[in-house]
Amino acid sequence: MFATSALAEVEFYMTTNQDKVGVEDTFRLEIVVSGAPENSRLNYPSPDDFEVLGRSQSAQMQYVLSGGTSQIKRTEKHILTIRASHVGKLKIPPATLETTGGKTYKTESVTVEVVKGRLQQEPKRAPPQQSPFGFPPGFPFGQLDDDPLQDEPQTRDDNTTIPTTDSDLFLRASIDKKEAFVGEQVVLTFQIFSRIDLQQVEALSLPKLDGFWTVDTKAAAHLQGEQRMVNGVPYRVFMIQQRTLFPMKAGVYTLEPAEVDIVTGNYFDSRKVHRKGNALSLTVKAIPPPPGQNVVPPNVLVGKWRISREVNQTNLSLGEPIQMKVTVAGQGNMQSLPVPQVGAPPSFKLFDPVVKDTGNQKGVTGGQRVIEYTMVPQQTGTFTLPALSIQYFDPQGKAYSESATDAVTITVNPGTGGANVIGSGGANGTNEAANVKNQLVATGLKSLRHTAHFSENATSYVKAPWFPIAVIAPIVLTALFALLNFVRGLTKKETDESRRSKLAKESKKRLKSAHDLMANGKPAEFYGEVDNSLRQFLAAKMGQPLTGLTQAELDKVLSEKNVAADVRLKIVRVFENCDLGRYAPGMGTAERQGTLNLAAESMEALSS
Amino acid sequence: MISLLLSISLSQYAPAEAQALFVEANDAYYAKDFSTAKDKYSKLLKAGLIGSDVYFNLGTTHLAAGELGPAVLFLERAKRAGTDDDIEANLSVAKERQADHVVGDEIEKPFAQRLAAVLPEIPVTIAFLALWLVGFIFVWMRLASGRGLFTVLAALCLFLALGAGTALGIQQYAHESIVESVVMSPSAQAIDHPGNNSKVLFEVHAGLLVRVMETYDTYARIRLPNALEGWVPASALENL
Repeated sequence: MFATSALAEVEFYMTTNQDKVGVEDTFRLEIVVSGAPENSRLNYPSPDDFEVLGRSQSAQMQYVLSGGTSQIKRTEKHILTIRASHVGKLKIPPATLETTGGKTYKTESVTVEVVKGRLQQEPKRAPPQQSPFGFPPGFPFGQLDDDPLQDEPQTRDDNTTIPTTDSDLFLRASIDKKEAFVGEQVVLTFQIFSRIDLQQVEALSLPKLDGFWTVDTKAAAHLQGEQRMVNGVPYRVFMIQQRTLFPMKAGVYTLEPAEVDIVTGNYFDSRKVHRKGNALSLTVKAIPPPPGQNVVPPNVLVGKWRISREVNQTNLSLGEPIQMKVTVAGQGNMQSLPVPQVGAPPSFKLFDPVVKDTGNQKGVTGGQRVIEYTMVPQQTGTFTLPALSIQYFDPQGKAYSESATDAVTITVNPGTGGANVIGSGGANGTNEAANVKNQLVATGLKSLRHTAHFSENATSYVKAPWFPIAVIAPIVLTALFALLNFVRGLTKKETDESRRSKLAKESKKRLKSAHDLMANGKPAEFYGEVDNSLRQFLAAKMGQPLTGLTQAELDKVLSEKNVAADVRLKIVRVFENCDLGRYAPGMGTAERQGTLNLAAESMEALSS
Repeated sequence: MISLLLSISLSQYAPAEAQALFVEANDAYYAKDFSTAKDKYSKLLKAGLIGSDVYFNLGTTHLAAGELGPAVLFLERAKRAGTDDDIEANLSVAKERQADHVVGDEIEKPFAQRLAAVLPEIPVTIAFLALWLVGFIFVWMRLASGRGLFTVLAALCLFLALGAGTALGIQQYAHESIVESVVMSPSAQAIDHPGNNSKVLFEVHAGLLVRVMETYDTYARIRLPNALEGWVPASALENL
């Protein structure tokens, strides 16, 4: 659109750079004044249907030669950044120029078609500049293209929209990406856009960040703004807080708007205003499993990580310490970084490592973790410290990567005096440390039994039906046995044989009582008892009374009963001894004992 | 031995088949296929082929699978069937993983329970029966012969049989009256009484060994080793 004044000397017109805009778009209204008299006064149009968001002005001097005379021509260009307040064909009223001579110039009005939404394309983001490498001196990863800290997040403020209300002062939340993987860092930034003076920011109320592990990256200690153009409108932008979010679960998250109280104006004229920011949406995707696997490994690292190792010496004498520094650096959640297991040989005494974390100073969550190990070899030899590796998921490359160090060979030479082991006092000594070679630690579950010994069911013997029978049966049988004996005793007829047997038993008992008499020093009674018991026994055995028989007659009877001669002789001697003992006292104890033995032997011989 | 042979002969597995099934279960365990291993061990138990080895392997498999309740249950049963160091070691692992820490001094177990734990039931039973029968045999011999030696021998055997019988009786009392259970549910709340308006006293978790003092309706009153008591749903427990 273009409109000019009718004057030839003074050039005065008004144009727009768009004839069709969206209600959310801003556009430029240019008012050009050329060759106007000095001290002329320009009156901007004051449209009701538009909001003027910004003004700027430039001037240009032109030296003109015309007809042999020279003239200086001044051209001023006034640019208004404006935005329509509603949809429709809207007219921008003309601008006017008043000269000191009382003359007034006027441009044509300009008509702009305003539609819903936004027609302007988002400005393309400039490629990020390579920033200087951020590792400390001596860190082995010096290649810029391999620097995991190099990619700083670009806050998406390009598409910041100016709100239709409170456009002079508004709060904006932004995230550096709209899609992220679980565990990938997302930078959430809160900024205040202002075209008025600010004193301080009070009471920033953040939205709930459920489902995220968060780290405070930046928090403004005092207001420090930077100039920025937003859709052609100059703003002072104040970063008030920045947080790094690490999503913990996949899903679509909506971050509710933050709210803030801001004190505007100056010391003498201040005012507190409340602003509510914008909501944000973030899609969190699950980490894919590694190639060839079906599940995601537990505690997988996300980000970009590099591992390196420095050893202060690889050829040393016994007793000298080894300082090993392992550095893990990169982007991501440092809290999830593991402390690598160095795999020191058993003969190395390994002290507790010292861990030092250094956060990144460049606005990226991450940094480096330095783990310093101190080891003291306990014996000579050549040992290998195995390679260290760290696997991680790179969300930018959407793939798993691994960073690893090389293995290190350590040569331990004999120490002072040629000692091969610490504390041995020499090569031939022994010590406990040298014996510590292969540490076999019993952990975990015990091994299974490989052969089963099946046992009977847990039913108790006591509960078996046969158990009470087994207990009671002996009692019953015993009772029956005793009863049977009793009945037999009552009903049994005493025969000659039984009578003689009974008498023989009684005779043996009498012989025992004779022994008691001998012990009590009663020889006459002793011999009498022996004589009677033997006679009673013989009568029972022979089946006839033997009382009153001479020894010859007795011998004859015994001989007829087929009693052996030696037994008969013993019997005769017993009776002779009894006669002597009773009627001729003076026989000693030995004779009495011999008589008793002869009687017993005779009874045994006849019983068998 | 006779009942063992009888149980094997009556089960669905021949001895060689049972041993093969046991080995298959072991192989599944080492392949980390714990579900298959548990199924196969359980088949042996259902067939009546029990024993410390099967209980131990099944308990260890549950422990490896992270199932503390059945792990402690079967390891305790293995311990009852024949204790050894491996069982104690795995029980220690299970105890470390168990969520509950019983605070305070443990009360001493009843004498009957301690005696029952020390004396193996089957040898005591056999000893009692042998002494009892031999004692009466001596009684019969005494009656038959009248010799005093048999009286002494009979008295000695019957006296020893009386001691073994007393121990056996105490064991039976312990088994009948002292019931130990393992918490099988992941967690169970213990309340002060089984009724309305009950109050939650504490919570127990899978793998805790408790003593069941009494049962009422669907609840069981449990006593922890430190004498803490409460009522929990009986369904959350499994008796040893």
